[in-house]
Amino acid sequence: MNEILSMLIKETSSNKIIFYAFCFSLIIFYSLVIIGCFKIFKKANEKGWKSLIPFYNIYLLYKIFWQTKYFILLLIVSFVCIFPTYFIYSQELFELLTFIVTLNLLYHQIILSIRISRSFKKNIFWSLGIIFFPYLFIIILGFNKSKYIKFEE
Amino acid sequence: MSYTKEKKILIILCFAIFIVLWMLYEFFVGSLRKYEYKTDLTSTNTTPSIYYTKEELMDDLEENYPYFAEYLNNNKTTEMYIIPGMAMTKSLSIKTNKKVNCTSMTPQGLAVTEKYIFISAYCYTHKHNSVLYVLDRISGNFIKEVVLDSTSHVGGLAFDSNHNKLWIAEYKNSKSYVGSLNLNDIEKYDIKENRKLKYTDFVLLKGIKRASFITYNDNSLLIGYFNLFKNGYFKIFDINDEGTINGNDNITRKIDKKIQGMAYDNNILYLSQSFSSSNSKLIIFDKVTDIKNNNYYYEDKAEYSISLPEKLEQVYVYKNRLYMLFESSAFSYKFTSDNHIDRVISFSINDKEGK
Repeated sequence: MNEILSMLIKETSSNKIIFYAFCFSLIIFYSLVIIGCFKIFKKANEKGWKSLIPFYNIYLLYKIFWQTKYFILLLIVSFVCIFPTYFIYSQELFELLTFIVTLNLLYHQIILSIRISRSFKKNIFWSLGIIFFPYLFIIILGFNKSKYIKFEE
Repeated sequence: MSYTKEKKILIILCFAIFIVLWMLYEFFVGSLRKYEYKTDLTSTNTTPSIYYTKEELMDDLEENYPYFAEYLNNNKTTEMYIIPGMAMTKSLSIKTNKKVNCTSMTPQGLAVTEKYIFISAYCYTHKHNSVLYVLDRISGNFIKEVVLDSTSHVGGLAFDSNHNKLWIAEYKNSKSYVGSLNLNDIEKYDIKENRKLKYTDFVLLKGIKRASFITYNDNSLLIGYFNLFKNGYFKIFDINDEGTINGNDNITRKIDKKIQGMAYDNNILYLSQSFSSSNSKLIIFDKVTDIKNNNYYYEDKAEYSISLPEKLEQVYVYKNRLYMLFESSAFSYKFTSDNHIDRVISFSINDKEGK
């Protein structure tokens, strides 16, 4: 390998800065949601540390505010949709299935957000806030004085 | 407000936002990709389709890929060849063989010989036949376009210098093929005759799901499969004395996912990896002495991995020079790509400079 090409290889690392910055901001946002969930879980008489465990924390959110069967349903739908793309090469199929999974996720996010805000006696704007800015509204909900009251439909 | 009412309002609102965003994306991106714009050009364009000058291209590269721009600027062996036909390509009507204008040609394959540079391109809207652009290797001047007898998504190119044949990887009716053209036939071809150039050989490749890329080495063709989601693979087909292949190879050599092109020369294996608008990568395996029997070529085992502008397609090595073809200058990607490389980029890969 010639010297000039080796130089190019070394310089490539500067491009990674953007990637690391993106990952770092994702970690920050995720941490904010986790901290908010930590407090929310405590308010709902669950142990706060459980919010630190990935996937299990989402399961618990469904358990506290909705029903766990919907969490399992969400997993099944996502798995069933993504599974064929592993075997069949088709950009169109991939786009269609991604679209279905996204719609399903969005629907679940809406319902869960409404149920969370209702459980703390909050209005529709809080539901909207949790849908679009969870890292902000979840942490406010965790640290403010609102009390958890099990929401019954 | 009741729970049911709130649920309805939010579902309608969120889904409306989602659908509107999706429709906007489809309208601006999807429809543009299927659109053939009208042009006043009367022949295949030979001027650059995006940047008038090399300096303009370098300015944009410096902004987005400063290390790559610096490398090209500092490297005295850097050469650029304009990719013709990106604004308009003269092709032939699928049904009548009359001359038609195609404005959605998308470059895919690249092959380099002593005299020529060949670039293959397919019509993004699939309304016209695929073509080959023939360029003079020394001057970079466009010589002619060759209309192929195929509307399929032509893949990579490989030149067999022993038999003077150009091989083209092709995916047609859910099957993989490799077609060949004699250099003599290409040289004799003239679009004025209103005929499409037929393949000399057209071999069905067994065991390859989709022939995406191809390269030539030591009297054999290395043909591979691009996989978006998991590892791809390649197989090796020996060329017989008649200059053709039988299309069977039982060994599957695994490579990384999203591999669009491959070159193998002097025991160095080059893989170009790209998809959509993420950065491309040139993955280099040094000292590959036994390519036939080593069956694992993943990035984590590679000696080098270089980040490059998006949409790198085929890489080709000829006389110690590396040639890189990007598809980002095609009309179908004009509005969705951040960087457009409308030239084949070439530079020396060892200290023996030359052309």
